[in-house]
Amino acid sequence: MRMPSSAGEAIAWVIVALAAIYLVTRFTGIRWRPKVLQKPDVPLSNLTKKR
Amino acid sequence: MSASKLLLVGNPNSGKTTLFNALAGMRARTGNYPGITVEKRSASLEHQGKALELIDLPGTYSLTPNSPDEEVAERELRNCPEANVLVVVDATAISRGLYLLTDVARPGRKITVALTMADEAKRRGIEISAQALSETLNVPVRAVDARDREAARALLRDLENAAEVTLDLDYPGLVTKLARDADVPESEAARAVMGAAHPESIEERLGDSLAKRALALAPEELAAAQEAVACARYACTEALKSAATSAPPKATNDTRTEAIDRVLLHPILGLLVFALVMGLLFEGLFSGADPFIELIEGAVGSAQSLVRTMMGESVLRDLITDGVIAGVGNVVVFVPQIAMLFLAIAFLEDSGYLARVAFLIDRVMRGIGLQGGAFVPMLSGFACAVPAVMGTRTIASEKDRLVTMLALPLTSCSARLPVYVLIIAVVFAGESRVLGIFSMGAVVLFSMYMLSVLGALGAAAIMRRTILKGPTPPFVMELPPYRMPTLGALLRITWSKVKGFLIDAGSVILALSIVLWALLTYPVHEESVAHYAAQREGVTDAAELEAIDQAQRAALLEHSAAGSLGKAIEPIIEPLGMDWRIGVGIVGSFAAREVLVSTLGIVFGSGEADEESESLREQLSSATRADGSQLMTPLSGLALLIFFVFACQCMSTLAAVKRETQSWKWPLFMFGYMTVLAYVSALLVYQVGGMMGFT
Ligand SMILES: Nc1nc2c(ncn2[C@@H]2O[C@H](COP(=O)(O)OP(=O)(O)OP(=O)(O)O)[C@@H](O)[C@H]2O)c(=O)[nH]1
Ligand SMILES: [Mg+2]
Repeated sequence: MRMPSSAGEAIAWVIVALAAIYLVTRFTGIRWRPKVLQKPDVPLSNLTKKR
Repeated sequence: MSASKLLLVGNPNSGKTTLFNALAGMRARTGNYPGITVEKRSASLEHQGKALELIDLPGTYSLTPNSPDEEVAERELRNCPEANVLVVVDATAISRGLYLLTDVARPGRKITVALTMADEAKRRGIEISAQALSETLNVPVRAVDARDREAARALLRDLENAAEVTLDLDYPGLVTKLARDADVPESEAARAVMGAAHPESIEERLGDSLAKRALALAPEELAAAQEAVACARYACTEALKSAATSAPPKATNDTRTEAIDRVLLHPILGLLVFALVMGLLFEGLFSGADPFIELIEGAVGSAQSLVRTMMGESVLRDLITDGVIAGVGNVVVFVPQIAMLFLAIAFLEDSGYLARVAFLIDRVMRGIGLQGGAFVPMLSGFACAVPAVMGTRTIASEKDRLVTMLALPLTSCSARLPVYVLIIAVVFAGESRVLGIFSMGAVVLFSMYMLSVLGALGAAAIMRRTILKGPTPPFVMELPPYRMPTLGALLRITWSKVKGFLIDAGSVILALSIVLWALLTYPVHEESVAHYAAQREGVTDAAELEAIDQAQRAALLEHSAAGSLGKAIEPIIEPLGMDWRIGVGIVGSFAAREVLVSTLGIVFGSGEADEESESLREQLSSATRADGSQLMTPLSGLALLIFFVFACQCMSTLAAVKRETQSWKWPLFMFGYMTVLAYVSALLVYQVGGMMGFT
């Protein structure tokens, strides 16, 4: 890995790293667009489950 | 001490969420058709110095649930025996509301009643005395226009006087006996009798001992008792109704709604009107937003130029202009169109027309093997598939629900709009008008939406006949009256959605753009740098130097991380008429569709000379392949469009399906079939189109 050639490039790298970290955290706890609750309040086959 | 609870319980479309919003200052989704709210939602507020938790629930007709959304309401009532209940009764359909009241009432349950739609009842000449009803029921009853905040607040003051309702319910002997044997109130025993028709969750709902007794009844005995319970409730409801209406009932039909429906629900005329409405919508979407888009495009270009003049040449500057501004700016360009789409959908939902479309289409749906009600979530899929997937909770049959859930992500959600508009503007601009009214772009856009609907219906039909066979229950849906949506409400809904889009653009798309820029910039291909440096030796002609710079940028792009990835998948997408640059965009768009636009902005923008700020549309139309031929032709554009119509490129939708089905099986299946469908369709279009001589 080469070193950044200028201060500007170093800053750019930091910004890229921050963006990547943001994306990873955002995607692992998928919460994008409308909030999707993690805990279901109606499982699909609760009501119409055949016995 | 924990906050006291107030549950909003009522029939679908009776105005519960409207009240909830008015009381708690919330912006939960409302709309003029049954089944908008499908999950519980709570808000805390302060009332007379005490904390109050207000809970909005899905609408239901009784406490014997028929579908998952009704089950949510039933379960919440069961789990909160102490909570106050505000029974929301639509004043224009009072019988149904009071019927539910007879089911909700039980010893110890404190109740107040809101008669919503008071304004509408008045217009239609329906006279109901809240006071008379209150005296009969022995609980506070108040007539309100739920949209009026002050009126809604008065309902909270009623809480002080909340009480058990007194009902004159004459239950059959069997219920009385059951109640005595199981040592429960009669109302509970009545519910057990009614619930025995749906034995699936009865133990959970009613407790073992009562459930066992109810299920042990002989079928004929049970059927007779059920009828008797229903009759007792109807008799009670009618008595309450006549106590509340002094004058003899006169014709109080909604003549306005009936008149409109004669046209809009007409088997032929209705479909014509629907086609016309859609045609105008797409014309508006395509042409109407153009001036705004040019304005924003101009602003994006100026922003890039400004940064270029302000900062010296540096990597950081490139990140800002070619990454951030190109990525985010090119998505933001589509805000006017998205806003128009949301506004139109909000109008269709709020006026009551959407429910009519489901009704019109019921016959088609029946042929497919789904009930017309399944079309309602599909239609709301035009805005976003995530709430639409949840909206399938109103569908009673599990298989119907699953089929609808799996097919509806094919309907074109708003995130596809920027992609459609961009590609169409590049390849179909400047064609002549169709029928003299509709621009070619609008027609192609309309066709993409039609194709998406046909795709969804076709997929549903196939699944219904193969992996998810089963009978289709008949479609019963209440048609709401037409209501003129208020401009304020429409703008509020539109703004909240546009805000969501902008927040996405400012966070996820921004971050993706930055990372993508890095992937397109690094690793720097030192050989190319050395190669072009050697070429520059001794060259003094400015034009020639510029040409070398251009070639170097292209070479660096191709050898970057993302470029190599694009090159690696190029053989797969080449038969669809795409090159590696579009490939990079497609890979990015699996995170979310609109990312295609920002990715293309970065890919094509980075290959450009710095000084000129061409719009993405111009960059795309002048782009060429390696062999010098034009990249975006009508045929390759069409193949790309069709790929986006069918492809499953939305993590949120997959997460929502996982949540609703409680397994990874169905979301993975959905992803698989949609991706295959997208690829094969695009391939067919490009290859067959090419053989037929189209370009
Ligand atoms: N004229 C009038 N319209 C109302 C009133 N209350 C609600 N509405 C409208 O009626 C429609 C239904 O309101 P919602 O609040 O979504 O009804 P809901 O009871 O929550 O319906 P579900 O969630 O489907 O059970 C919306 O279009 C509201 O704008 C009212 O008092 N008067
Ligand atoms: Mg609601």
